[in-house]
Amino acid sequence: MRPSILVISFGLVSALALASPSAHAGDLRDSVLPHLSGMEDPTSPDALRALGPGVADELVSMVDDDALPRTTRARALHSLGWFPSPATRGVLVAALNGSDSFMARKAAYALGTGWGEAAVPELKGALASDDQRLRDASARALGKIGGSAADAALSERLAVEEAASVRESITKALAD
Amino acid sequence: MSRTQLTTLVASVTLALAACNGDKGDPLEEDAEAIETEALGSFTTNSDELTGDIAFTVPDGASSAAVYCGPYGDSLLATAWVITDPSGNQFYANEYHESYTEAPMRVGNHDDMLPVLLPVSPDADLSAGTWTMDVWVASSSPVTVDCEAVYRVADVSNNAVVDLDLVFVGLDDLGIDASSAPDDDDFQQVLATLDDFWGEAGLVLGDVSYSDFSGDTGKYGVIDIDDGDNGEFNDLLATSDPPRPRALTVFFVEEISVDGSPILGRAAGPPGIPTVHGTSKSGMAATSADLRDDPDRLAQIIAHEGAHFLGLFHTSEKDGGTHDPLSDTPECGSSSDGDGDGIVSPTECSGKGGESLMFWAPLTTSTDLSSDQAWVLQRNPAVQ
Repeated sequence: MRPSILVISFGLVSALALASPSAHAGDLRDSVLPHLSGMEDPTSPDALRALGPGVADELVSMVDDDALPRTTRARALHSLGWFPSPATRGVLVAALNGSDSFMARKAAYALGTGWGEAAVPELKGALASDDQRLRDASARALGKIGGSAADAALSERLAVEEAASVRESITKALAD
Repeated sequence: MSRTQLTTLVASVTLALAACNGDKGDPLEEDAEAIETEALGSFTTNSDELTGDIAFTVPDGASSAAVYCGPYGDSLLATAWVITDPSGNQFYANEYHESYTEAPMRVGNHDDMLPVLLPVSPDADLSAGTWTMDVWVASSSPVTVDCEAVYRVADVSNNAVVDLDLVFVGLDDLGIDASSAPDDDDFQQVLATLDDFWGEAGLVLGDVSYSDFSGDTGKYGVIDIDDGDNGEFNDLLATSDPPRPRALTVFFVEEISVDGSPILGRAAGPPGIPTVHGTSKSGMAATSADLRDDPDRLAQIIAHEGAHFLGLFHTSEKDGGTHDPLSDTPECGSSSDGDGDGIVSPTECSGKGGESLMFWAPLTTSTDLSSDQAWVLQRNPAVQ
């Protein structure tokens, strides 16, 4: 089962984030979009940061923009991990606990990137999800965080995990 | 791991130019006439990490040749060091080779299997006779590779047919599989739009087969490429086993993830190894998450990656520093990076290749394919 820490809707969290005084959603859309549109190139954090202030707000607005391809919204969500703030964390935690498996996986990685050990509780919860692919992503995210808390969460899950691919990811995460 | 084709429906796509081509006859028999193969032998790298000359003989009338060597494992990279034509002239040299000069040819650095496609530009002449290629494998220990060549000897058509082998890898969340895809409106729109994209280059879709991946869909439904390890991607492509020998295998996965960041698609190579299946360079994979909301975007991913497999490169790479070897595609250099973010965007490259399907980050409106690009695509051994 996925943890039900937050019942607030994903969209509402995004709206709250946008309501922050620093929000300039839309101003940077044309500059940010190409960074999320490469066919084979993953998004580069340095290139996004080079666009200056307001990028995080633009990314948050893109996450909720249904006019954008789902892959673009997922890339925007994943990129929030490079702009850690209370607002972006709220968006990511909501996505991690949402019903969209694709977005939840991207949120798992982003939380690990942006908050490190502080994200272990959320990722430990996701590691117990009934969604095998989310468990796999969470294991990989915890592996990148490393440290005792992440390793403990991984070891605890390994003891009960039945899916071979997730067991493989956990084992690799613990070894790295 | 092997893929069992549980559900294989070989169907002529209504979009195909069956009417234009008339009766195509027995495709397997035609394949035998159009494709020649040559076993080149085994070669072991020396202390300079080079194999020495690998000879291959291009037959009279050949329109293209694909030479490939391997396997040498996912953890090693290899590339062509130097290629010499039948007259003994240097056709291509790696940029680190002492005799390097710019040539209308590109060879990448590839793990596990090295594919080399000739020609990838109309400015390069594929003359009949014995060529040689020296391969560099990045390993201080001796590495032995097996090499083979595939030649296309059939005439080139302006209505060149590409057969597709479509493999669905655990797309339950998207509600699509091999049995539902032939009647799924969104999926058929993907194929129709793909036909439009490739129609710009005189390619048409031929026979399309549908099957479900029978391996671990929980694992391979999301292809994870972490820390440069392409093992999952390579393993998936190595399961390719299309019912038509020249078909291009397309694996539909929910997502391809590079260190957690989603990418849209990836082709073997590029270019891939045409007409040869069951290798790590046999096919392509597409992130399918856009199927329901934006099927045209998924079509563009397949069109772009499929064109990579068949021999095209990006007209301009993201930093504007590298371009394809074609003379009629616009180039967008780093000087076009107006906002200084380190990448050249489609809008910054407007009129300089941003409109090309093969731009590194094509907009949905980026559909252009040039005459030279069509020339390359139509000659690939996988194309009929």
